[in-house]
Amino acid sequence: MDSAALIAANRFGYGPAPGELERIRGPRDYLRAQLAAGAELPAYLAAQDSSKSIFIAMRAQRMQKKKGSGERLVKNARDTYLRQAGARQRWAAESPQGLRERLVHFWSNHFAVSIDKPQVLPLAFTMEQEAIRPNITGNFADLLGAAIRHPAMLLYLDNTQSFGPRSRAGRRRKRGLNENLAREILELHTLGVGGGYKQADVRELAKAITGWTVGSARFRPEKTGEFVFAEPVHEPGSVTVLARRYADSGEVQGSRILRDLALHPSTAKHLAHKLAVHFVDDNPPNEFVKQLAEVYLDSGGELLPLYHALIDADEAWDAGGSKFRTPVEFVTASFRGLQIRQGRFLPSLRALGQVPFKPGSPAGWPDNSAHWKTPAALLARADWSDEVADKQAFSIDLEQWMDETMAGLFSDRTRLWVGRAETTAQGLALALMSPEFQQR
Amino acid sequence: MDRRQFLRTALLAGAGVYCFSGRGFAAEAGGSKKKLFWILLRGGMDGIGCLAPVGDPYFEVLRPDIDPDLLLPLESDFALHQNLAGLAGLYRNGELALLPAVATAYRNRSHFDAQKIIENGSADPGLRSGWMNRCLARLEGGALALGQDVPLSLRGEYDAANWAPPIRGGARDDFLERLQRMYGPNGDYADLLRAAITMREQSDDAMSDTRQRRASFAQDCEVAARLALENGSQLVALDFTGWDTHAQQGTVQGKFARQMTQLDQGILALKKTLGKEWRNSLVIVASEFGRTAAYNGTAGTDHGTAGTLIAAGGGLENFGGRVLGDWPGLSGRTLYQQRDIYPANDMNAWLMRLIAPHLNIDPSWMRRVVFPV
Repeated sequence: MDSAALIAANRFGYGPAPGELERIRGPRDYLRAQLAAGAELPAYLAAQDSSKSIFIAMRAQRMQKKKGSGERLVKNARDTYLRQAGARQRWAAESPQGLRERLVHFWSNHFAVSIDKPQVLPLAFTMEQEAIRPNITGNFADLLGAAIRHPAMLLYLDNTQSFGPRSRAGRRRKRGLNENLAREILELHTLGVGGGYKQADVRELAKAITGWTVGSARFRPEKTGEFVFAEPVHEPGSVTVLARRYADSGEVQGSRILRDLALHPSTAKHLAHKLAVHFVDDNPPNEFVKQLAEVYLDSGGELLPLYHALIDADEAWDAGGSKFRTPVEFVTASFRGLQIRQGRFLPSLRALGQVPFKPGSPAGWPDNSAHWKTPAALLARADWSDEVADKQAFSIDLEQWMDETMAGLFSDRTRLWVGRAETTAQGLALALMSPEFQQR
Repeated sequence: MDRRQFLRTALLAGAGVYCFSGRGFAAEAGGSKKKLFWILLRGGMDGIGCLAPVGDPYFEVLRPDIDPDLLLPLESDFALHQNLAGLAGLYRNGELALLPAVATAYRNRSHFDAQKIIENGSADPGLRSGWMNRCLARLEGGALALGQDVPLSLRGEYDAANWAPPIRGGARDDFLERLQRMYGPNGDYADLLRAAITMREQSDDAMSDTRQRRASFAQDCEVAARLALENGSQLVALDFTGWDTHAQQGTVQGKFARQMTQLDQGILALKKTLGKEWRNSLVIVASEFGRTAAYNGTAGTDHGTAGTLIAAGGGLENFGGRVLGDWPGLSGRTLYQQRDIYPANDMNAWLMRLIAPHLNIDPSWMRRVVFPV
C-alpha cells in the first residue's frame, strides 16, 4: 500500500473507511477531486431545521406563556442540539469527501461559537451548515462575512446588544458599544493576536458593525431569525480602522472593513499558520507558512488555491503522523474505519472531553498535540477503546481490517501485540490505542 | 417477582443494555425446558493447572510449583485445583464431569481462529454461523448471550437476545497491562499511560467504596441464569476472559488461582440461581485451546493444543462424577510437538455426546448440521 494514500486519508481526512485506500490512486488528485466535486450532503443533515425555523418555533413557544413552557423551551433546544450534533458527527464518519468535512470542522472551529451560552445551543450547528459549509471553497471574505452575520455569532459575541452610543436607539435607551465581536474578528478571525491592530481599531470596528443584529418580534418580525441591519442602532459617522477611513454607509461600512481585513497580510499569515498547524505539524516551518500566505494573497483571498498549495507541498507528505488526534478525530476515525453506523458519538465525545460545539471560548478548540496528549486523556481513550472493541469484536475480521482497511498503518510492534491478544476485542482495542492510530 | 419487574430491577441495578429482539421472548417464559449454558474461557485455559493429572509421573517434573497434596483429589489419577472446592462437591454428587486432553480440529495457535472454530463448530474459521445457533432449529426456546454483542457461537439464522453487563471502572486491568507492554518501557505513550494508571490506582484507593469495578464472573452467571429463567432461553452463552497466562501465571497463588476461584463461584452461582431448574441444566466450560505442558522462561505457559473441558449440572446423565475420555500422558514422546498436551479427545464428538441426549436432539442430525467436520 502506498503510504501517501494513508497520509491522504489520515492527515487530510478522518482516516480510511473500508476500501478507501484501494481507491486512492494518486493521493494528491484524490484530494483535489474532493474539492472540485460538489459537496455531498445526506438527507439526515439537509433535513435539519434552519436557524430561521428554530427561531420561529422558539418564538411561538415563548408566546404561549403556559406553565412549564420555559422548561420545554430548554428541553427542545437541547433535543435539537443532540439531533444536530449526532448527525454532524455521523456524516464525518460516513462522508466520501473526508477532506471537505475536515475543512468544514476546521473553519467551524476558526469561527467558534460555544453552546455553554444557552442561546447558542440550538444554533451552533445551523451556523456551520448555513455560513461555513457553503463557503469553504470560495473566497475567505465571503466566509468571513457569512460567519460574522450569522445569528449564532451575533448572539454569542453579544453584537445584538451593541448600540451606537450616538445612534437614535442608543441615545434614547442610554446604551453603548459592546466590543466583544469586533475584538474577536481582529484577534481570532482575521489579523491574529499579533496582527498589528490597536484598541482604537477594536472600538472603531465595533462602531461600524453596530446594527448588525437578528430580526425578532421587536424588530423586523418578518425577518425573525435572520440577519438584519438595524439602522436605528447603528453608530453614525465615519470610522478609521488600521489607518483607513470608512465613510458611514450603513451596513456596507462594516462589510467593507471585513473585506479589507480578509486581504490583510496579517490575516494571510494567520490563516496560513492555522491551516499548516492543523493539517501538517504543530510547528510548521516558517518558510512553508510564508509560501501559503503568498498564495492566499496572490489569489485575492481565494481558499481553493490555498488548499491546493497545502496539498502540493512536500511538507504535507512527510511520512509519519506527527499530530495527536483530537477526541473528535479519534472517535470519528474509529467509527469510520470500523463502519460503526449510528455510533454513540456524543457520549463518546463527552467521555473523551470534546463535546461538539462546546469549546468554551471563541478561540475554539486548541489544535496542538500537547493540549490533547495527556495521561488522563490517554487512559480515557483506553477505557473507551476497551468498551467499543468489545462491541465490535464479533463483527470484524481483525486481520483483514489491519491488512486491508488500514493497510500499511500498523507497525510490526503493534501487530505483534495485537496478534498476542487474548481475544479479538482485546486485539482491536490495542490497535485503536496504538501510536499509529492515535496520530495522524 | 415477575419478568418485567425483574428486568426493571436488573436494568436499574446494572444500567446495562438489553436487546429485546431475541427469540427468547417469543418462547413461553419459565417452564422446565432443558437448558444449556456454554461458558467460553477466552484466552486458552491451562488445562492441567485446572485438572491436574497427579497420577502421571511427569506431572511433578513439569509443574514443580504444585503440591499434589494440597489439590482436591478425585477418584482416579486426577485432582482439581485447590480453589475449586465447589466443583469438587458437585463431582461427589455426580453433578460434574471432566474431560482432559480435549481439542477442536484446529492445530495452529492463534486465539482468533481457534475461537472461531470452537464457536462455529467446524474446522473452517471462515464459517459465519455458530454451532449453538444451528441447534436452535431443533429447539422450542430461544438463546441468550451475556455480553456487549452476540458471540459467534450464537450467530446465524436465528436471533439471540443479549444483555451487556455495564462497564464500570474503566478499561480492564489485563488490557491495560498489555497496552503498557505494547508501548514498551520508554517513550511518550509509555510515560503518559504509566502516569495515568498510577493516578487511577491512587484515586481507587481513596474511594474504594464508591468506585464500582467491573462485575465479577459470578455476577454474570447469576444474571444469565435469572434472565434465562425469566425468558425461557434454552441456550445461553457466556464469556470469561483472562486465561492467556504467558507470564507469572500464578497457578498456585497468583492470577490463575484467582481465575479458578472465580470460575468455581460462577458455577455455584448458576446452580444457586437456577434452583430446581439445575437438574434440567447442563453447563459446559471450554477454552479455545490448552497451553504448553511445561512452564516457559517467565513462569507462564504459552499457547498449546489440548485443554480441559468441564461439564456440570443435573443434565449429565451417566457422565456425572467421572473423568472422561483418554489420557495421553505427559512424557516427552506423547506431548504434541514435544510441548503441548496431546489432543486425545475430540471436542465436537464430546460436545455431541454430552449435549444431544440432554437437549433431546437426534445425534445423526447434530453430526451433520451442528458439527459438520
